[in-house]
This record gives sequence, C-alpha cells and structure tokens, in this order.
Amino acid sequence: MRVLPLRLKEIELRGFRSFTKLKKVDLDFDVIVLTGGVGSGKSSLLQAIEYALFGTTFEVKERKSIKLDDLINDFEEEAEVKLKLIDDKGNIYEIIRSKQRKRRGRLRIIVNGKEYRGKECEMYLSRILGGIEYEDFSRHILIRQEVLEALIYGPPMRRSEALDKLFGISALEEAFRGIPIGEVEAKIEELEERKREFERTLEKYGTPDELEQKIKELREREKKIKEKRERAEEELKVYEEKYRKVKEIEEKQRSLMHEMARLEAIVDGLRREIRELEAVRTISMNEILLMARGLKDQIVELLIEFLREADAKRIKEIDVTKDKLRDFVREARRAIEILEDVKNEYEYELSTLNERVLGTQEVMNRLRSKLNALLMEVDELRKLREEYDALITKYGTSREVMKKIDEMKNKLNEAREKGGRERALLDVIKSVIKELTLKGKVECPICERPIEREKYEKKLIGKMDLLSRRTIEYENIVPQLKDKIEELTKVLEKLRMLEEKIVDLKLKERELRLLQEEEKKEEEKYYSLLEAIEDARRRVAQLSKALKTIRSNLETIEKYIAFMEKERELKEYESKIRKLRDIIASMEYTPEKVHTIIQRTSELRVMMSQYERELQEVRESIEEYERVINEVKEASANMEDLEKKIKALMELRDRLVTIKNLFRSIQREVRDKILERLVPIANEVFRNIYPYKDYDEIDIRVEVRKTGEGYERSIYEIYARRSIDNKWVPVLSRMSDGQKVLVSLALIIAFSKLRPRGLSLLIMDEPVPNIDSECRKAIIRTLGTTTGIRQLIIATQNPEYEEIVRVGVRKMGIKGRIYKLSYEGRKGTTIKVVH
Amino acid sequence: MASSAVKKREGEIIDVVEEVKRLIISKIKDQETAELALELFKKFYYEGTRAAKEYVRELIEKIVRGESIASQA
Repeated sequence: MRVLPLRLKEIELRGFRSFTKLKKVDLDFDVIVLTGGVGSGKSSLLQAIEYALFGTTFEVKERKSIKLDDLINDFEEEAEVKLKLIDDKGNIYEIIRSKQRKRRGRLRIIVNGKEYRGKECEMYLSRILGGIEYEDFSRHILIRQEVLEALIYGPPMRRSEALDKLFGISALEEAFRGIPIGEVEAKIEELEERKREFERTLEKYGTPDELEQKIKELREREKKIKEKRERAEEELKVYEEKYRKVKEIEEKQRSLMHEMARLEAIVDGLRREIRELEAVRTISMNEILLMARGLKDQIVELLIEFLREADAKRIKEIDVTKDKLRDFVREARRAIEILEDVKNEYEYELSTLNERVLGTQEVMNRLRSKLNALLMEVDELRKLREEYDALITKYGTSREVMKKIDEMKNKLNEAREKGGRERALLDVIKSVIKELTLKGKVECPICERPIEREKYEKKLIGKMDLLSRRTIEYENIVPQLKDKIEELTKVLEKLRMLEEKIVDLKLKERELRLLQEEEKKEEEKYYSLLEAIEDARRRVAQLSKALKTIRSNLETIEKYIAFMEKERELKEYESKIRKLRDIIASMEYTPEKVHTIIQRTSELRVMMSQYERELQEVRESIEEYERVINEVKEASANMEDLEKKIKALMELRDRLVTIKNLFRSIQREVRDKILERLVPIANEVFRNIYPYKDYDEIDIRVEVRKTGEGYERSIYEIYARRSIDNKWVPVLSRMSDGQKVLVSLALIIAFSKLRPRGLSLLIMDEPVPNIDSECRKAIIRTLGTTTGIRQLIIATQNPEYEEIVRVGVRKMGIKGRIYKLSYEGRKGTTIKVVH
Repeated sequence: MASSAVKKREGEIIDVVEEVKRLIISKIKDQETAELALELFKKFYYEGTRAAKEYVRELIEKIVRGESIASQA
C-alpha cells in the first residue's frame, strides 16, 4: 500500500484529559492556532492527536510522569479519540482509539468507510503513516517548547543533546555512555574473587588427598579415645554399682539406727515408769490375788446391797486367777463406775430431799404465821360473842328486840293519835265553852245541834278537864316511847353487827381447824424427810468409804499388773536393741569405704568428661576437614566452571567495549551524513522563512570536547554568515531570540524533510515568546512551497499569533482557523471558533 | 502545497535506524557481537537506557547461571 502524505482533517474526542463530553474539532486548515490560558486544554488536544496516532504520549512514554489510565478524564470511565486524516486524493483515514480504566486500549481504523480491527491494526496504521514512528513524531512533528528552548537558549551541551535527539542519534550517545560495562567488570571481579578464595582454600588446606590423610589420622585418634572412654565407662559402672550398694547399706543402717534410737527411748521410758512402780515390787502374786478376791467379795456385797444383782452376778462368776486378773480389774472398774452411779443417785436424791425439806419448812412457817393471825382474829371475835350473849340476856334476840320496837312504835302512834284527837276535841270544847260563855247558846261545830249553856256547861267543863288530863298523859307517854324506841333500835343494830361477827367467827374457827390439821401433816412430812436424808447420807458415806477402799486396792492391783507388764516389755525391747546392734555390726559399713568409692567415681567422671571433650574436638576437626574437603573438591570442580564464566563475561565486556566504541563512530558517521544532507536543505528553508538580509546562510560545525565525566562529547555550534562581510559568526552569541527561533525552525523543517514523510505536518506547542511579529510571520511562512510543511498547528497563550494568522490568511491565501479553548470545571474544555 | 518538492528530495531521506543497523552490520564481522550491538541499539532507541541496562544485566546473570547468551544476543 502506498500512502501519500497526509494532513489532519478532523478530531473528535471524549473523556480525554480535560475533555469530558464529545467535542468535534475541524482541523482541515493550513494553519490552526489554539489559544487559551494555562490548563485550558491546548496541550490535551495535541496529546489526543499524539495518542490517536501512536497509542501513547510524550508524558507517558518519555517522562513516565503519568500512566495511560491518567489520560482518561477524572469524571469519565472511558476516553475515546477519533482522528481523521486526508491525503491529496481525498482518501479519508479514520483512526479511532479508546481506553477504559484498567483495560487495554482498542484501535479501529476506517479507510474510506471500510473498518479494520484486530492485532494487525497497528501495523496497518504504521503503513498509513508512511513509517513514521512515535520517536519521529515527537522529534520532528510535535515540537515542544523545551526543544526550541534548548536549541535557542540552551548551553552547548544541552543544545547538542537537543540536536542529537532531533537527528535521532541521541540513542547512540546514550548507548555510548549507558552500556553498563562497569557492572560486567564488577561481576568479573566478583567471580575472580571467588576464584581467588578457592585458590586460598586449596592453599590453606592442601589437596583432597592430604585432607583425607588428616581425617584418617583423626579417626584413629577418635578410636583410641573411644577405647579409653569405654574402659573408664566400665570401671565407672562398677564403682557406681558399688556406690549404689554402699548407699543402700548406708540408708539401711541409718534406718536401723533410727529404729534403735527409738527403741532406746522406749526402754528409757519403761525404766522410768518401772521406777515409779517400784513400791509394788515387794508384793507377791498370791497377796495380789488374795487382795483381788477380797475386793471381789466387797464389790459383790455392795452391788447386792444396792440392788445391782445382775452386775453382782457377773463379777461373782469371775474366777480371780493370775491369768484373769486383768479381766477382773476391768470388771472391777466397771463395778466402781456402777457404784459411783449409785452413789451419784443417792447424792442426787439427798439434794432433792434437802430441797424438799426446805420447801416443807417454808410451808410450815407460812402455815404457822397464818395460824397465829387467825388465832388473834378468833380471840377478838370470841370477845364480841360474849358481848352479844350479854345483850341477848338483857334485850333478847334481835328478832325479839325488833318485835318490841314495833310494839313501841304502835303505842307511840296510838298515843299520838289519841292525844291529837282529844287535843282537838278539847280545843273544840274550849271554844264552845268560850262561846257559850259569851252567847249562852251555840251550834255544835260537830253535829251542828244547838247547845245551850245552861244545859251543857258543866258537862262541857267536866269533859274539858278530863280531856286536859288525858292530853297531858298522852304528851308524857310519847317522849318515853321515843327514847325507848331509840335505845332498842341501837341495841338491834349492835345485835345485828355482832351476829355477823359471830358468823365470821364460826368460819374462822373452821379455817383454824383446817390449818392446824395441815400444819400437822406438814410436820409429819418434814420429819419423814429428815429421816430419808439421814438414810441417804448414811448410804453415800457408806459408798464413798467402800469405793475409796476398792479404788485403793484396785490401784495397787493395777500398779502391780502394770509393773509386771512394763518389766516384760522392757525385756522385749532390750532384746530387740541387742539384735539391731548385731545387725548393724554385721553390715561392715564405714564412712572411709564410702569416701574411697566416691573419690574414685569422681575421678572416673572427670576422665569421662575429658575423653568426651577430646572426642568432641576430634569429631569437630573431622567434620571441619570433611566440610573443607567437600569445599576443596567443590572449589576444584567449580574452578573450571568459574573460569568459563569469567571468560564469557570477559568476552561480553570486550564485545560491549567494541560496541560502545562502535556506537560512537557510527554516531559520528551518521551525524556527518545527516549534516551533509541537512545543511543545504536548512539553508534553503532558512532563506525562505528568514525575512531579514543581515545573514544569508547557516552552517553546523562539530567540535569534540572532553566532558567533566571524562569522556569525549561532540558539541554542535551553529554558525550564520553575515552578509556584509561574509564572516561566519556563532548564532548563539550574535543573533536575537527571534532570529535563533527561525534558524532552529529551519533546522527542524530541514530535518523533517530528510525523514519519512507520511505526515506533512508541524505542530508547535508553545513556541518561544519574545519574538517579534516578523518572526511570527516567518513561522507562518513555513507553509511555503519549499519547506514541504503543508499544515501547521500552533498552541499558544500569545494572542499576537491570532493576528499573524489573519494577515497570513489574507496575504498568502492559505486556509486558517483560530480556536479559543477554555476550561469550565465539570463541563471540561470548551472550544470556540475565533476566526 | 507543492508535492513535487517532496518527490524531488526523496533521495535525501535518511532513516537513522536503518542507517545505524547498516553500519553495525558492515563494521562488525563477528556475528554475535553484531547481533548484540543491534539489540542494544534497539533497546536504547525504542525502550530507553533503563531497559538497555536491564538487558545487559540479564546477560550477566545468564552467564553467571551458566546459560548460553547466544540466542539472547
């Protein structure tokens, strides 16, 4: 496929760097100026062109400051760039690249409506671009500010590097300086050192045969030490056995000694106890038996007396002999306990009786005091009875007195009635008489009959005298009757009172009799209790006395029994002690014997440790020699391999040195060739775009200088021929910045004409500032016929370029477009057509 | 734009990579050295100094491991 030089027609981009939403930019112009402030998206648009053509950008590939994923807008997940190219025949080549985060980028190509996909797309694209590679594009088509700056303002070294890059031979310079021959030499030195180490090892330890001989000698020594150790081990075993046995004996003897000490302590105790019982030593067994039998009879009698027949029977059945003496003592102790119980019962009874006597005494005292009080009361009452009897004798009984009073009262009433009636009649007679005296005749106030004086006066006077006497009589009888009634009433009251006392006396006398009977009973009870107390005391005394005798005799018997038993025990323990002494004496144990065994055992152990140490040393030496022998063998084996590797590394080093020098000579040749062809073309371009007459030709000369790092470096010097005197002067020191820009552009354009020309395009990202309008116009003139540049894109913040384009378009008849870019946050970059 | 100018100067085109390759082959008679030189140049030209140095280190390691570097170069 033969593709004619191409130019850009259109770009569509979405989600790429500062571009978020889809933006379509018409690029089908001879000159395009992208204006806008810092961060407006000018460089992003240029990078989009670069990415569409080569799938990478300068920042990603050269600077490595960002990754491909960083080309995707922060708010988008995918970036897509669609770049349309057009050739002279109107064929349209559409390159579509897209990239999703963390995924590989995709490429599609559409040529005249036919789409190409897959792996071979990149190769197809390379053919479309006429072999222009990314490196060519970044050197000769997309001219960055720093390249121009390096060419115009850079010191010789930087300028030379920039030119080397421009010529594509900087890789040779980097190769000359960057081939790591030092690392090869370091590795050779490292292997040489290892080789020397092997040699030193061989020198130090000798040959493997010599080492084998040494190991053999050491093994012989090891064998001898082992034999010695085995002998010592055998002897040690014997002594350890002896030691074990002697320790056993020692242990046994210690145990026996302890036992003997214990027995001796018991014997001492027994002897002390026997001494305490010494008093019974003089008593014979017969005497003890007689005493025991007497004791038995006494106990039996007591038990029977105190109604303990069953116990008495049990003791009675015991045959008191020498053998059964202890049984008798045990039973006698039980009998004593029983009798003690009996005694306790009596003592308890005694205390109960005493309490009862005290109670009875108290009752008796209480009764007696009551009796005394009652007797006094009865005496008093008896006196009253005598008074009563006297009153009865005088006045009669209270009934009779009462009857008399009633009679007196009747008489009194009668006397009062009759006296009153007669007094009234007397009064009437008196008044009648009085009236008769006066009137001589009056009507009877009673019967209303007329009474005449003469007839009745005497009769009335006699009646009146009678009535007067009788009234006086009555009046005398009434006070007498009243006194009598009063006297009898008092007597009656007295009689009634005395009658009550007499009734009381009878009750008291009855009570007195009962108390006297009770007192008598209590008295009898008291004397009966006193008798019981006396009896109980007697029995307690009897038991106490008997128990004391029994205990005393029993203690004598017990002491005798104890004495006999202690004597027997003493003999037994003395016999045991004698036997133990015999056993200990038979053991033949001496501390000296033990000491000798321990000393020899210790010596043998020291010897064993010594042999162990020697063996360890010998073994370590053997191991060391075996390790060394392996090392030496390995070293011998490795020496050849090591030498081979060193040889191979040396060959590599020599080759690299050759290549390094070759690269330098090739660099020189290529450069000379480039310069030979470049300079005439550069002059042609220079004359075309340079608007002044002061310089008419340029030239590049190469000088070799030694750098500070110690190697030679070719330094480019650009010269210009001054018109007025045809003298070649250094551009750097003589020309203005604008003039230097034009010289640099002439070189760039010239070189691009020497390279494959798939793209007849020049992109300038921020051309240097501080150049005059003539220079800016000259840049536009690069689109002239002799430069071969058919499309120019300038990204700049400098607004003066806009004017230059307008003029260029008007005067040169070229198609131009000015875009203004601005960044609007989430919306991303927006593009407006200015011209 | 004048495409005739492009055609006129086609003979002057310099492909630096091809030129360097040609020179390497012509100047180095030993094939292994020439191959190594070409490989190194490609590494320096396309992948950069770091990759080229890494390549040489790999060669060193291969030699140390006792492997052949013939195919590598």
